[in-house]
Amino acid sequence: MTTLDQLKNTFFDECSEALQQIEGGLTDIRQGHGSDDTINAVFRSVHSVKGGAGIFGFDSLVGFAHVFETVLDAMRSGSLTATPEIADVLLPANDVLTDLIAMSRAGEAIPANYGSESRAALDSLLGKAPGDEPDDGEPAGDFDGLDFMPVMVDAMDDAPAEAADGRQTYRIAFRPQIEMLRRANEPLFIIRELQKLGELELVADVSRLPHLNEIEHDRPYIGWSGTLRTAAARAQIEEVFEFVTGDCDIEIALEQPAPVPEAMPAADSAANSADIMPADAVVAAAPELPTLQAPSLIPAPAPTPEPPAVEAAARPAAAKAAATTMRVEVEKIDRVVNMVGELVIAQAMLGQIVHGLPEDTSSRLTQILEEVIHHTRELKDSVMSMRAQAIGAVFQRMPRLVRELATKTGKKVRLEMHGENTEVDRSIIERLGDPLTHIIRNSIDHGIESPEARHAAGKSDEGTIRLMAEHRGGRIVVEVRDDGAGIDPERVLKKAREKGLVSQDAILSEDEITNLIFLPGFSTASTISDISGRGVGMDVVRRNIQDVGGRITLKSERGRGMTLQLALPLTLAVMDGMVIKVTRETYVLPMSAIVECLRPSRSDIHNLIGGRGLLQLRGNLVPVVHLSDLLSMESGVTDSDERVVIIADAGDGSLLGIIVDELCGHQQVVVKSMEESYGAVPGVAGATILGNGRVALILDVEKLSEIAINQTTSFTPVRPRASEPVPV
Amino acid sequence: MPIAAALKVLIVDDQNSVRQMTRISLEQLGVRHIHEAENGVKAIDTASLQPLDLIISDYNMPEMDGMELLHAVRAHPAARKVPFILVTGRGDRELVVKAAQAGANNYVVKPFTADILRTKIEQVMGRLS
Amino acid sequence: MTPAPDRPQMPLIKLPSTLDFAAAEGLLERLREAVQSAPQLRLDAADVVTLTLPCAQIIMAALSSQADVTIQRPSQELLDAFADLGLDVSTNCVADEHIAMDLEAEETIGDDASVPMEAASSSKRILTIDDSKTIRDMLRMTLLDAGFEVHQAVDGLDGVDILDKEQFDVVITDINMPKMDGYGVIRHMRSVPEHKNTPILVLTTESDGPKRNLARDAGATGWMVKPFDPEQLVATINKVAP
Repeated sequence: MTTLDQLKNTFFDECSEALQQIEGGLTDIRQGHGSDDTINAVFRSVHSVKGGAGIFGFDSLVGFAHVFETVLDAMRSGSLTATPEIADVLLPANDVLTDLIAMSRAGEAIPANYGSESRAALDSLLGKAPGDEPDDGEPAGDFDGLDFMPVMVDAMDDAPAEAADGRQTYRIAFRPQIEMLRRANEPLFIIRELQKLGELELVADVSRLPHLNEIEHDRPYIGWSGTLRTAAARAQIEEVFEFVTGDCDIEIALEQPAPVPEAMPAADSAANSADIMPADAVVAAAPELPTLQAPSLIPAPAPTPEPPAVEAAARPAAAKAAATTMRVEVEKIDRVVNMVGELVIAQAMLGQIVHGLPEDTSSRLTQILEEVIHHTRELKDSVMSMRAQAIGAVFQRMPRLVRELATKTGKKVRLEMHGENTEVDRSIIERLGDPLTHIIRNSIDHGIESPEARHAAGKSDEGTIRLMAEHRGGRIVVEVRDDGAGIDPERVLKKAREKGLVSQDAILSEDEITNLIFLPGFSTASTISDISGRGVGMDVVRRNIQDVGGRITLKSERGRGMTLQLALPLTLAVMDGMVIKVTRETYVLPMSAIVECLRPSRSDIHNLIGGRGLLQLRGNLVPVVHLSDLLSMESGVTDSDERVVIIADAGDGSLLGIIVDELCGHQQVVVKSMEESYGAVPGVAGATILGNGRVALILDVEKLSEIAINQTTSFTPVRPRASEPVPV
Repeated sequence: MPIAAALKVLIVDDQNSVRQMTRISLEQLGVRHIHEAENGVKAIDTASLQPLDLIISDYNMPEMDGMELLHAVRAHPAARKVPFILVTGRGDRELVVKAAQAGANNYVVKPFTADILRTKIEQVMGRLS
Repeated sequence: MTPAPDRPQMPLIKLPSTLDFAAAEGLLERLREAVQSAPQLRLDAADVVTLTLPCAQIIMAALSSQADVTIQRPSQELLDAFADLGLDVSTNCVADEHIAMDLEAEETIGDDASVPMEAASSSKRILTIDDSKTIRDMLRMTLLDAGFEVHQAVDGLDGVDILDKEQFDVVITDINMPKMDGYGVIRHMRSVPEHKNTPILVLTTESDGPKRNLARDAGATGWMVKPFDPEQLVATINKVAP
């Protein structure tokens, strides 16, 4: 990639941020709480896009951005008021801008009249007829008729002492006063500092040195003068004398043929006349060298705002803002996450070894190990929080989606977002986009009714979709709730029967019916709108969510609306796992899937034909399977009363009991993906390295339960409520 | 006649991509010592600690814009004499007038080429060699 | 002009290893006496590591007075220091093949003008006084890295106690401290001969102009702004005691 390409990428990344800014700001304005700062911020973002586009030569982008910017400028200056109506013009304009940027980034040709509708709307805001001359695409040039005269910097131009190496010669003279010695400042060190700046030639003036008998040891009698040839700026030279200004007579002057030396604000010579500069020093108190001529225009100088106040005020504010965020490459953080993962593993191994040591050796070690574990946990938490991103990153795509879909379907829809700041691990955010998009599409397509239908049903014309995210009990919960028509159970049941997904005479509860839409092969494709009917059904959505270790549940109320709830793990990289053994093999089950563990007595399990069983659990019957069977392994001790049954969440609200040989304990495990090497294996979610250094596979409980279902032809999972016999 | 290779220049712009493009232009002119700052406050820090021969600053930046930076630079004892070129957009004519009053040495309208930049710099500092 | 080194009546004055203001006073007295009693004298400069302005002045004054002064076994540092100060002593120096840091071979004929001082160590000794452990640790780390010998005090009073027993090349002190503040430390140091001319750097925060001036009035040599940049710290120390 050439440098230019890299810079273009950087520019496009900057554009992404700018677009977010603009969307957010315009939304605020639309909702009536935009301020001047909001307008300024949006203006700046558009301006930045335009500026960069100009530099990199994306002319169509420049053109559109320019009109956009002009509208915002008018808002800034007050000639246009920031109203929600204007925001409704500007938001689609931002969509056009987004598209133009995307096309520019992809190198696509941009049709000449792309966004012309939006541009016309912008133009009319400015009072221009659509056919007016667009003033874009002109090469930037100086302003016509402007009297700005460039201001020359004399010092650099005229100094003849400046030779080919860019250095200049200063005349330096300095004579200490008694205060300087009293403060233990030492001329020798000052001279040495000057020597570091360049070539120093100083001559000491000892003419005032008295006879030995008269000399007082702590009075200065010697002064120095000479030249310093240096590339350093004057400020650096002055800095050498920083501590002694006021205790010495000092002069620093740029050597020029024209004898107009600058006077260093020299000492208040409280000293007596005996200590005044020797005669060969440069004459003091010359006028300030006019390095900046006053510009040739403007008779009346504008009142300059207090610069120090500006500086001082800007500094803490900026410092505070600067302390809030920092840009770090994602790869760097991922590397750290990996390292922390390794650390967790190593620490687990260490734990194993320590626990195997005799008591007397190990107690101190155990103590320290506890500390290490504690610190590692904190480190892991900090690092994971670095990877955490606000879920708003995914949410922010939704408003535009809603706008477009609403327009296409002719429905009125409002999107409410809550909890945008909820932090979610990056790994999960990336996987959330598609499912959420699909859910919302579904909602608008099939859930929200047309304004007429809503009106007829006594609802407001505008439907609402509420998108919400929050932390709940160690998980991230994302909820999409609409106030549409909800799911029509009859239609769904009919459809399911048609597709053979459900037997004709099966009796299902309303909940069960609504969950039918998650079955593969079920898609409300009777009216395939071009939006949501691409064969992507809710089963794919559920699959996506389950793949990240999450769960999706659906609640619907006929006529009132539908709520889809996604429960996601906090992170994919490290998770709490239950280590189990079956037939001498060790596996890990995700704690998030485990509801409880039991060691039932033999009598609690009803064995059925085919090795399946049912467990009596508080009045409910829960199907149980042997893990060894599921994994097609030689079964271990089948008859022992020592078996443990792990009650797991099979993913759709139903429970499954998994029989294992031994529970080895629960611990945090670092999830290592095996997909790159082995491809996706159904039932295996990944692998980890245990404390004993051995590899253990992490099992995908929901997939396992699916396998369990499929291993019997008509085994259907039983909800905890029902206690009917299982059809065979 | 300033030597391009000896000049120490500070570029101030909140957009990294723009800073880099300006850097490339400067390097084409032979400049070797280039500092960057992404906002006015960092620019002041650099200007007060480093000897600079030129500051090229965008106008349009958050927190402290180019004009505010110009004022701050002109008021700072260590930096007040450093030549300052303000980068403006096409519509910023009034701004240029104000910048002149505040002590800017020159202005340049973006987008600009390396040649335009050279002209502007030479107008302030004399022919670059 | 070089007197033969074996003339017994020529007083030899040994320049002490750390020749600073306090030592200078003593040296001056010795020189005056010596010059009055015998117009020729030798300064044995083998141990001198640093040369300060007062001492340089004294030696220059002695050299240009009626006395014939020879500097015997001048160390290279001494000669460099004279050269840096722009003072020419070359014609009065005597090289000796048993040169230059040969601290054992001492010919002490006559008075010894040495004032008891710490033997010159190759690294500078620094005392840091600050009640904040963080600052103390940061200073210590930076200074050790730069090759200095670091001693610490946790408060002004603690610092003064240490100073009553030891000498340092630089003292770095905070201003606000519970039992005795920085001004107290400075005033104390400037009132005793041993530390009258030890460089003192105060640690201030940027906006503390008035406090800085107060410190200067009390006799501080210079200042460092907190939070300090490690390079800046070392550079500042070099300004007051390289």
